Amino acid sequence: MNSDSTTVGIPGSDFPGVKAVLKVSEGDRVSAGDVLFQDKRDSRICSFSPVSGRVAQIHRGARRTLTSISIVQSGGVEQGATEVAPAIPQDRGALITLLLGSGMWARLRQRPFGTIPLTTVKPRMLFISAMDSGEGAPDPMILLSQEMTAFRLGLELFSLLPTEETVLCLQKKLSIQPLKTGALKQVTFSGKQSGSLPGTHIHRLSNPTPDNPVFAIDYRTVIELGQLLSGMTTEAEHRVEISGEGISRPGIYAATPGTPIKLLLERAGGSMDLPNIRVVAGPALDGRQISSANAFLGVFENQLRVLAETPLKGSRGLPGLPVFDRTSLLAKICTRDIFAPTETNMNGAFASMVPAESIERVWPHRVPVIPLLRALVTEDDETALALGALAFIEEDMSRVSWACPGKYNYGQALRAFLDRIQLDM
Amino acid sequence: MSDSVPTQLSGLRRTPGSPHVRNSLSVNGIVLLYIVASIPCLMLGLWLTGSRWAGHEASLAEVLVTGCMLVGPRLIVLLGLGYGLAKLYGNIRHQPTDLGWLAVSWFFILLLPPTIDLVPAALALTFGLVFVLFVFGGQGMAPFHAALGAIIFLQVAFGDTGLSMQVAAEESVMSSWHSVLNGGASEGMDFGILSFQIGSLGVMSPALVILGGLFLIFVGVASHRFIFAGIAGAIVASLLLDPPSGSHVALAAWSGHLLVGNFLFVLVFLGSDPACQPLTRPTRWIAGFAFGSLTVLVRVLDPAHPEGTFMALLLVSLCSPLVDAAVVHIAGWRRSRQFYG
Repeated sequence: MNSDSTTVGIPGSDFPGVKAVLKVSEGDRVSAGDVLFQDKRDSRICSFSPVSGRVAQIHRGARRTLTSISIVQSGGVEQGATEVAPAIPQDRGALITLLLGSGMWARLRQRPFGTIPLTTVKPRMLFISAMDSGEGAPDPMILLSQEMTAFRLGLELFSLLPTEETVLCLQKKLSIQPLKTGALKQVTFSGKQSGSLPGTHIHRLSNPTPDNPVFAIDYRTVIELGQLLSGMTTEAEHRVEISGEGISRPGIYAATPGTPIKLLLERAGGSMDLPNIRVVAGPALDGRQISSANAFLGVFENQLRVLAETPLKGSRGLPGLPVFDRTSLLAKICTRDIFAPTETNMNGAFASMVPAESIERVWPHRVPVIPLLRALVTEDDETALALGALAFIEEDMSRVSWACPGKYNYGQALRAFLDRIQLDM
Repeated sequence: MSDSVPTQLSGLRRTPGSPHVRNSLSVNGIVLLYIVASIPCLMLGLWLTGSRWAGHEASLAEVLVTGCMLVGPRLIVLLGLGYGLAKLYGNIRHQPTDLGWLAVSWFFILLLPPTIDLVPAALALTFGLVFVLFVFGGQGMAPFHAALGAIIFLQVAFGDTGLSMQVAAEESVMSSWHSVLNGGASEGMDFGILSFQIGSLGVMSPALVILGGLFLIFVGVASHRFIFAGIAGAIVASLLLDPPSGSHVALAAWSGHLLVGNFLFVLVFLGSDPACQPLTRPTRWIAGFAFGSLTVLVRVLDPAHPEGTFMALLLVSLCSPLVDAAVVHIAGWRRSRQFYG
């Protein structure tokens, strides 16, 4: 039996902002539900072992950040956590305890900063995103209509978290009775690309600041919470679309978060060991680059893309001139298939930022994009704050970075801005 | 500047991380697209210049060879000068050379009459590149198009010698105006969109400039907002303004203002250049409209300047950052009002 098939991993990227204090070491035996690590900022935030087995490897990255923990399981798969409150929580404190115990607190994201929030933080609004633009992602409306009872229950409970209102963002409105526990607002958004990002919803409907943060969560977690309290299985079906270079059977596969990516690629007829490829978990634009140290499926990742690496040296193109190859501008304009690239080509040299129309075409927000981007790269924090940059994280900037003729990385500039604001707090 | 300004990574062919893919448009690619769009204008300029000097009986090959012999040396010297200055600037600043010099030199040449004296032209190009482009940091950082700076330098600094350039260009524009106003009596033809005019090298056919503009809008690099607003501004101003009697444009229809002279060329190739564009969409509409109307204003009210485009674009480019700042301020104010009342 392949050892990969019995290995489950927890990628550190599932825990943004967490400073992990490990409670296990390599070789330790763990049971399902045992604490693997705690957050140094707030010891109530923990990661639990999804299976029983032995801790195989703990990978750390730059500045001792956690890259991944892998566990070789022994015995049957026991997904889910153990310390689950059986009763339906009646107040906010009980809900937080339940979320922490079930590991669902780590699915919450706070804006600004895009991190897992501390349990002491009281958000003004909670954004529930019931939209998914991933090519292989299931239509949220199908799952919502199938699991409406569990979703309604989860919604009722999650609405205990914010002080003002819960905002449900979707493509078309659902008929949901008013909640008993808090105000619910349904807002529809259109657009397949940026329209489904939580940053788009949050920037449009609120102005988060460090003193007045908002939370975001995805609709699957809401359903899972409802299922957990209804006594149903807590495992919503997780599907992954696998495609790209060397994948002989591209398609949509069922997979549990934590599954080794090597195993998933082999299932689709591909391999991680091919030369000159880059495996990306998540969208090709801003997904997580997979290496041997973090090759496990993340909890929000529903795509695996294998991109062809561009040779570092080659004869294509003249020095100083752009490379117009198969991803050429005109071909893209003709096919309109601009977000389906297959190669990691820079397609040009780094240069000054020019206010090109290409950037504005991929920007879904009302605030002017070029002044915002200039404010980010020139560290003009006052303008960036005025234009609502605190509502964004890296994924909201991926499309403008893609479109920038000067080849800037605005996600990096935004993170530097957020770090400066966090330091000033 | 933050770490996101990766001047050290200029040699990378492969994305270093997220975003893992990039689109195929680069700053150098934008310059090349602009040059490709203006090549038909240059070719027509070569042909018309050649036919003037070679005579009407000459064959097409003779005409083209004559045109190339007249224009070629200027083209080579000015492009070589631009490249040399760019390399020098790159070496001094330890930065890679982008193609900003090419756009400036190319459009400067196309805005000159084919028979321009080389020394003043070279001096003007040096001024434009050094004092408008390089001292501000290169492509994308200039306050206005450096070719515009070079042309204005030529007009101001060499006013008394001629410089044959200004006289020739403006005389030719005057003759085109007469053609328009006299219903084509003086030239034997009415001046329309398909007509040719004698003047600067690249502006001889409005139709080719329009084709170039449509190409740039189609590939998505030129700002259609600036172009359409510029045309609207010129039309509105020409309909509203009451020219003084005796003016050479007294009887010109609005179409005359669009087609005669270098209005369309400057609007399409200099005004809409992304490297010198206003930063926000409202400013592009405002700046385009202001450029069109100011051009007509200068033409109508100042008989000494039948073109008016350069001064109008200079003024608009210098004022655009102010409008941009106002637009950004209003966007921030609206956002603040939306959430805090």
